Amino acid sequence: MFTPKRKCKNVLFVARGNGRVPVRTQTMSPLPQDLQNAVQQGRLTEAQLRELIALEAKALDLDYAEAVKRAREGRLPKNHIGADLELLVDLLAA
Amino acid sequence: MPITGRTLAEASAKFRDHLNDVLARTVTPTRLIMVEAVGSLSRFQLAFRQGGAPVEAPLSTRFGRVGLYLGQTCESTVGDDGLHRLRTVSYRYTLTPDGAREPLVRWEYEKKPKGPYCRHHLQGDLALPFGRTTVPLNDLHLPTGFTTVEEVLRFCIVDLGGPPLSENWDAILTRSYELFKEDFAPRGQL
Repeated sequence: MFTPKRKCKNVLFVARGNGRVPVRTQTMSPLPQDLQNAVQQGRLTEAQLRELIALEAKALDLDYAEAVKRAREGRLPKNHIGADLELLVDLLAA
Repeated sequence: MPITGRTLAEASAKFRDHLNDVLARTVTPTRLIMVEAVGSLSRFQLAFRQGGAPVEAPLSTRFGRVGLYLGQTCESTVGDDGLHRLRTVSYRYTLTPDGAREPLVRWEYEKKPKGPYCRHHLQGDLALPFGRTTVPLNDLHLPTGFTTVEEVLRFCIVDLGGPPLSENWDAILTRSYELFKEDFAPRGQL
């Protein structure tokens, strides 16, 4: 029987479904619970999408308008939050 | 297995569930979360998230710990049969060594690029010897063609030495790659 090798140490494990899955420690503040719920359900209103973008922008020390502008110009930080923010901006109507 | 659905949500859930199944049997049990903006464009985004915030999946490699970020924005077009078919609008796949400020490598795609560079390209925090000089890879858009999630996962296992999560990881990635190329994104429809 195949036994996966031991995985990373010092990794945060979070409950998901029937098990716990690893994620790297995040650098963002926790999202409001109602926004977390909406993300978990996979459906955001336009206002919630803007709120999520604003929170990711805040983690990059940017405000919403500046972050959207930089995302459209490809000038966001290249870390995973910047990458994610760029993809979320693609969901916004022009 | 064409990835279609009666609604965008149905098609995107199929895509998410397929990728999460592949991920869980190859590289990481960390799951992709789908986000659709209701009442906006017929688009959704997939990414690793925890508590709603984007996160990287931690990988153990022969070079140490690495964070894997996979993100994709897709849209749907409705065919004559009324079914939604998915197309990729943009993707970002990054690998970031533990402690690094930015990714070592980034595979990116933009359907409508912000400049005249290659839509599918590779960049990263690497110094590339170029003749008598050295060029930061972040200053170039190295052409790649469409990079699939499966190819990135294969790279993590084969080249970075990440421990596969099942014995038949090779067949799983091969099959999923074929499904993507043949059914999800027939040539010319990316």
